[in-house]
Amino acid sequence: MSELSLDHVTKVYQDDDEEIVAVDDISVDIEDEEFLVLVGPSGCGKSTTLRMIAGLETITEGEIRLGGTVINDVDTQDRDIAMVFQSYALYPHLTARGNMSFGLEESTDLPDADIEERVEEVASMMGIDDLLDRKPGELSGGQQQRIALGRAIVRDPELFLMDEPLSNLDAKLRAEMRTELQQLQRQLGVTTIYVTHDQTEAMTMSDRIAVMDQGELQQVGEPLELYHDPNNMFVAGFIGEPSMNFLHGAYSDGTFVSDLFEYPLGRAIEDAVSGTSELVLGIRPEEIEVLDDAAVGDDPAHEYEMHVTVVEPMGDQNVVHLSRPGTDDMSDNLVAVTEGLRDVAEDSTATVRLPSDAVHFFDGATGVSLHNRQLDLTEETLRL
Amino acid sequence: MTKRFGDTTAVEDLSLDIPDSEFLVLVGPSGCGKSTTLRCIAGLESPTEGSIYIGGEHMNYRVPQNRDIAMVFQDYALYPHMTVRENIRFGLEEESGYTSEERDARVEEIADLLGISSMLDRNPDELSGGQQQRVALGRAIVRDPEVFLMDEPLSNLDAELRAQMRTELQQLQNRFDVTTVYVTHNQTEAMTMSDRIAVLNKGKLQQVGEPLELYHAPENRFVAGFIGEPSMNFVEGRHRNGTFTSEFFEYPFDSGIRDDVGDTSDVVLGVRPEDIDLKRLPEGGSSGLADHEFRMTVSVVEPHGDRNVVHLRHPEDASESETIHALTPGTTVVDAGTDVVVSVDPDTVHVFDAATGEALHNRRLESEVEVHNV
Repeated sequence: MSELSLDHVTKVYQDDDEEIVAVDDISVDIEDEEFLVLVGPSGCGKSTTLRMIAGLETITEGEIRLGGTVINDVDTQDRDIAMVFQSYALYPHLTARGNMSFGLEESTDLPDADIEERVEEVASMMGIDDLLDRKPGELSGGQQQRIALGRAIVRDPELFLMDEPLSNLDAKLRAEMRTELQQLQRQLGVTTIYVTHDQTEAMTMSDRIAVMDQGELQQVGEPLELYHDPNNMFVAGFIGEPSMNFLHGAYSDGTFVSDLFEYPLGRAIEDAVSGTSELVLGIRPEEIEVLDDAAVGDDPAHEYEMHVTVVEPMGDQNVVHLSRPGTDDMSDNLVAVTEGLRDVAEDSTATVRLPSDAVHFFDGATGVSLHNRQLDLTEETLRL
Repeated sequence: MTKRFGDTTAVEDLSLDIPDSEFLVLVGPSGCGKSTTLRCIAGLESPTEGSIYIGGEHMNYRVPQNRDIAMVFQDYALYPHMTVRENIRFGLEEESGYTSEERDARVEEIADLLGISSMLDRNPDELSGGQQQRVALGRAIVRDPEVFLMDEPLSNLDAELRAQMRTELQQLQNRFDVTTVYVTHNQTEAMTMSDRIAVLNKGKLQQVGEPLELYHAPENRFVAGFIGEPSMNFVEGRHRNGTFTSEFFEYPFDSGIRDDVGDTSDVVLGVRPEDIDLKRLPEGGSSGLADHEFRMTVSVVEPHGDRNVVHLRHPEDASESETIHALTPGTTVVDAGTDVVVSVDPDTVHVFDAATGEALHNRRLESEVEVHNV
């Protein structure tokens, strides 16, 4: 069993007289065979966390356990961990085969024939058999990263640690490799911690996501849990592209009041936000309805006239930038996403609806979520 | 225009008219000739054959500084020892007819417009990447040139900032109304920023058109596959007696498609991921499926929150040679491993000639108006 536990783990760096807390008291249990993605902006502590798990950094406080055994003081090479980095770190003078067998030759007593067989087996599973006799210089970036992955897999470790392994690849190849990596991990069933700053990778590849910011763990959960039920504004804004819209305002007599509009809350939301004066309304772009003339007036309390400043056609969808009507304000107040074939003209006026079952409310002072959109993720109606 | 380097033809017989104040994006994979084309317009390369005109005037023999163009590059190329103000003012250095006061006023005006007024007295290394790129833009704009040339100006920025700068650049271009040629390999930038897109591949112009024209009415398979993310699905097969047959699928063509495809037999069927509908498998399995419905197995689901990318394979397609990607709304959850009914409306399919890649039939849209007015 290869479950991994981080138990109140803290990392403090000494910089002259100053203490820098890179990782602040994080606790998370990663199940056997789980694919956990550690995500956050640069400097959030995700790579430091990975390096502590790998044994490349010491742990200032707390415990890391792998398969129930505390590994704080176990040397890197004795942790039974394989790492894959952004830079492929292949030996240029060795063939792909040589690169893949090198680790095993160094760290085990396996006979050459067994190593050879293992390399062939992994290469065939990954569909890279035909690359084995080439040198890294003859391979594309995607192929080199596959060899680097193969080298990690050949070692049959308890744990994979991956640090932004796809960030050097172009967008199309990255999307392809995302799926490949995910399928490979399922097939191998090796517990994996994957570090990235890219929320799309986090959403699409992980069993669960751990979001970090400024050294602190913000939330751990399944992708759609973070998307629809975020703990705070940071998670709500970080997960999802284009980002959730945030409008700052205040509570006043059953209504959210902002510069842009007044939004009547209704009983359930009112109960959730009561006692907080400074509020932030959040709504995802795809939940904002840009209304046809016929649909205007169905829910007048939550409908607003806005000025369409820019329409970005993506083909399958349009990103519609909306600002306050009657001003020359270039800054967006809201961003909406509509279907690709929906007709929205730039520099026109549109009526939009913010449905009350799709809005989030956050505490304006602390960022903590007070009310999330109502969506039961276990609900059968969501299943196809 | 043609540009050859020795035996290599970088740009082959390219003809393109860019109207005044248009924002044209030149897009294609690396090595397609887009940057060479831009460098020829700038005067940094000279065309091997053909001519370049700006405002009706022949440019081939004119040096870059006499073409009244301004360039913005991927690397911002700011002078590190100069302040932001000095960097922007430098753009006016070669221009005559300004007094010193007018130059200062012009710099302030541009800085204000770009939202960098508060940074005028800082050095470039005190600015973020996005701010530096704004300064580089400011230096180009301050000269009020006839043409802007931009070579991947946003590619050093992270995804969020890039999306923001995309909109900003577009608004700026609208405001200044300066004819702009913008080079990128990024189809999202091409789609979202341009008035028209010119797609290049292997030195050849593939198609020029408005974003949604390229998206819905591509002239060939290259354009169809390059524009759109996730990409259009392609299934290779044969057309015989009005029916398309691949290893795992049979898809009957209606008369409209049949007329366009004619007697071409090796064809490729194309469908965009958002045009593939998924339904729950009915009781009793796949019996009773209609002509354009198929039973498929969900192999991978990539949740994006607002939508899911669903990978589908035919139940007998063990090697996943004919994998198809579909998009479902974010709140429609599908589990990997389940079987579903996939339906593809004949109105949404494209058919390409397998040998030439040429589009024989493009999807039907309810009305032309929709495409042009968006």
